[in-house]
Amino acid sequence: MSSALTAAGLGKRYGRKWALRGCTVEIPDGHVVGLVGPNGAGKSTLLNLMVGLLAPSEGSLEVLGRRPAADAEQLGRVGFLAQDAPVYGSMSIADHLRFGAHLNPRWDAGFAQERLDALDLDPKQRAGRLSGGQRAQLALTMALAKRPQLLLLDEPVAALDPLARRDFLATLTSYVAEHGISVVMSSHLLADLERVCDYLLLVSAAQVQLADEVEELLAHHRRISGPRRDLSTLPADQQVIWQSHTERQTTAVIHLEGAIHDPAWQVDELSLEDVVLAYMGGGAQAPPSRPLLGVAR
Amino acid sequence: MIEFHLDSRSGVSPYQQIVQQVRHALRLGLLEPGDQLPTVKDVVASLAINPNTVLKAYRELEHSGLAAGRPGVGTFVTATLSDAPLAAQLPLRRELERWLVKARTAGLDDESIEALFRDSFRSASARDIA
Amino acid sequence: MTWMSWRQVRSGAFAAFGILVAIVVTLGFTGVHLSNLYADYRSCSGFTCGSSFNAVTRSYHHVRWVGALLILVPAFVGIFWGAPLVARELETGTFRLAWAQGVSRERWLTSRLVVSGVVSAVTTGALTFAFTWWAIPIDRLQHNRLAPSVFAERGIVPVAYALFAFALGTAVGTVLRRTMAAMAVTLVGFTAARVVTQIYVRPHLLSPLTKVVPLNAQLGIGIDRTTAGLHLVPDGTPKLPGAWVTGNRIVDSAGHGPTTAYVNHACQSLLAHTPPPGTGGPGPKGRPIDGPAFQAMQECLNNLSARFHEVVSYRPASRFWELQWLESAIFLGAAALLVSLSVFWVRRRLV
Repeated sequence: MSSALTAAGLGKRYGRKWALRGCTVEIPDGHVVGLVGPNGAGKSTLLNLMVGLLAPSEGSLEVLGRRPAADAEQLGRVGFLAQDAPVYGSMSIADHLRFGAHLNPRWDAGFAQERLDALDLDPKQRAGRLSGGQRAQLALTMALAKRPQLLLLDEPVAALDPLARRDFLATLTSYVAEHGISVVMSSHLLADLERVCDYLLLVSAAQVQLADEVEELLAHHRRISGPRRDLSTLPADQQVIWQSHTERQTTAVIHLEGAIHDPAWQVDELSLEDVVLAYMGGGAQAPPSRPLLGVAR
Repeated sequence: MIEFHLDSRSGVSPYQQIVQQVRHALRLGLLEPGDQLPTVKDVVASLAINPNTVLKAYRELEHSGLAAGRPGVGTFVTATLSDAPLAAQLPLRRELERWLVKARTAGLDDESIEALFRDSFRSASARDIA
Repeated sequence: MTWMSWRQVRSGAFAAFGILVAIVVTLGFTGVHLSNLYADYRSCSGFTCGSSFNAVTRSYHHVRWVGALLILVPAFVGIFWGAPLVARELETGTFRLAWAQGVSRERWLTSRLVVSGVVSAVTTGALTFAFTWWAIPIDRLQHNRLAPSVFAERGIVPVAYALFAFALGTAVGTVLRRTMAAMAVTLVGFTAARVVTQIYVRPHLLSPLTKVVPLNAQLGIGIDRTTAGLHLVPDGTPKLPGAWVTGNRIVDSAGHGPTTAYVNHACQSLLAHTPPPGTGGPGPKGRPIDGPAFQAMQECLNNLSARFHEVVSYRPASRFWELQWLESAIFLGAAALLVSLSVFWVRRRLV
């Protein structure tokens, strides 16, 4: 299977501060990848690196097997929707579509028009007058109408009201259902990600903490709670990601390979949101003793 | 054609919910053999979920022998679930009601009864699989 | 991409074209009339020639403001079309839309530069052409096309200035990434470039011719009376119609100027006639006014002529076009460098 993203030691620095460092990951094609992490963690940086709007400070990066923005063809294969969906305020919607048609060799004008009709947007309307949701939809239409192989979205629904968000995600998932493209989408809204994404990439403190299929993550993480005790007594195949102790009780989120045999524990499954929060938890956690990165399965 | 909905707070994964909703519809007779299940595209458009989720659910239904996919056309129901006749269910129901009375008399509240039932159900299922 | 580049400057271009058309039409009508006035002058005789001359050189004062506009137009081009070209995209974030399409950044920039550059050149060129044509009668009578203030409003240099300003604006905008700052820096930079070129570079572009003129009061040699004595001042310009005089000295054959002592000695009677300054003597600069004083002056100059003469450095009017091309070449060359800088910056340094 080809890979959507292959990074080796990828790093990006702004002045003295590293926005992203030592990023080594391989994300396979054909997934909707959720990119999560706290603010300023490096999610935007990674997406901009992938589309070629930033150059790495160190390490290497290949998107769909080639260097980002290597040439016009590569630019045509990757679609990008930047944060806040920038559009040209004084140009009309129709002008934007014409802009897309002129600059992209594989532009699908029929699809673009269909989307406009479905969204009930007046093509003569100036893009500066659109609401946030409409702007996001216009930007998404443009990104999809160029028929990319990979679509990158930087917090596309952050500023949208719930209805606009639903519409946006429905458009996105319908397109994926019909055309099977790969998507990498960064978002804070973990509940959305759980329904839309089947692969997760967690970036925190400029490092990649998690890169795995959602199914695998959910299968291999559990929350355990029981009488208070020292967690270093856990079996070797169980790793503590997050822990919390009261006087009488211990709760922990663990990564495990096998089953839990100790009857003293109450074991609960986790939602994706819970898993992500555990990894972003900070403070009461020991760093994973083995790298929890994506493994070729 | 049935419509799916997703309860994001139920703690049950999306694909499981779809499977459950199909089985429920079959049980109630809302779906009969020969009916077409909604296309992946339609489900995805109305629920805004990952297409793989729907595909996984439909695959499981096929595995259970409840549905079959016809390439290029869609996924169709092949069996029913309302095959346990109502009559056979009546004695089971009465036994259950009696047990519930016993549990209440022993002092169990609603949550304890549910927890007890769930634990027993789980260990029984595990034993079945093993 | 060409359509896109045009679309983004379309409204500005139409506004400019509108103003241009209005101005050109005005120049057209008034120019025809001016041309007729000139024809009248050419066929004048006697007394009428004076007023006929004035009719040409003093009419349409308000239309001459087009010349002043021509000085400003290149700056406007740089500030309003050049500076925002890249800077606005970077500031508003639309570069994330523009540079994620199927064309490379270099191609995007090149197209924008070419389209806006062509529009700038065409507007400025049309305006310059129209104004130069309009001013032909005036220039023929006033013979001062090489004068610095007139030179920049004629011919082709305004187009070169405009393209340079545009390239400068774009480069500054690309490096600074902020539109307002880029506009300010472009204004300052362009003004500096024009001033420096006009004062320090242009005089060296053509080697000057020199003309030796004998000393003659009627040709505007003045004499300054200081406390030390008499001092020769080459005050006016000799009759070199249309020429651009850049140097005017009084020297002997060895190239030395007259010392005050020498002048005092050669012009003793004039010295006697003119009291030292501060003593209420005749006229400003101590120039003699009365008859005997004038005679003394003429005698003084005659004495000095034996050894000294006036050497005028100038460029003749006939070299107007040569100078235009040379100066244009400088500005266009600089524009090309700035364009390369912009392309390089966009490709390498903006990531």
